[in-house]
Amino acid sequence: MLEERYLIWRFKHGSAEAFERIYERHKNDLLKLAVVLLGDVHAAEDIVHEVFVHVAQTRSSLRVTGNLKSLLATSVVNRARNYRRDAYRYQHSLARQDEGGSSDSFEPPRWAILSEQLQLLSAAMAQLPYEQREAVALHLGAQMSFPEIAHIQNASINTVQGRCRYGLQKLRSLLNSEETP
Amino acid sequence: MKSIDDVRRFYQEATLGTNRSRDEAVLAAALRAGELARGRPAIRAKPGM
Repeated sequence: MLEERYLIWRFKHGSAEAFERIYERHKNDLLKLAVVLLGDVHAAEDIVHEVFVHVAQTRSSLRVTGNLKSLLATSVVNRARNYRRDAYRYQHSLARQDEGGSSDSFEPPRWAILSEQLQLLSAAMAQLPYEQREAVALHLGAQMSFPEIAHIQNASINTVQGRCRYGLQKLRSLLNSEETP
Repeated sequence: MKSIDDVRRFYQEATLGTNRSRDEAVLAAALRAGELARGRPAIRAKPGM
């Protein structure tokens, strides 16, 4: 915790090395969170890229009251919601999925390399209602507390607990059926 | 998967690798955007020193 506070302090004073360490420490968890929220690797990569660029741009005004992971995860969640609301990009992503990634047009190299387990998880998460998916991902992935998630979701703690409980139950049954074809 | 804890474990163990060249591109964009300096920030001498 102290080490993280020192890293943030150095980053705010312009240290690229401190920023790189923050990036290395959090990028995988944030990518994983974005992948399970959106089920679209390209969109997840774009969002995490934007989050880090935004954090760097606003470093002098950055205020970390809790832990940095929660702040970054919240930023991913907000961007994921905006992404879903953006009808054009959403349609575009569906079209891209329909193409099956086999087009000859130029694509930047894939950033996130998903394990089979993560692909399975992402497909199962896509079947949960979005609020449940978000609550489960924040609870399991970002290890955020129910009150923190309630704040992000603008819902009561009871509602968030219910979303996590039902979401986890459904996820368990979906993953079980994947295991036994 | 017998329990919720199994799901938790499954989630935490689901791994993801990243492409180094894309990492460097993201880092470069962020460093440029934040005007971050590589190496130690220069220490300015106080007036009269």
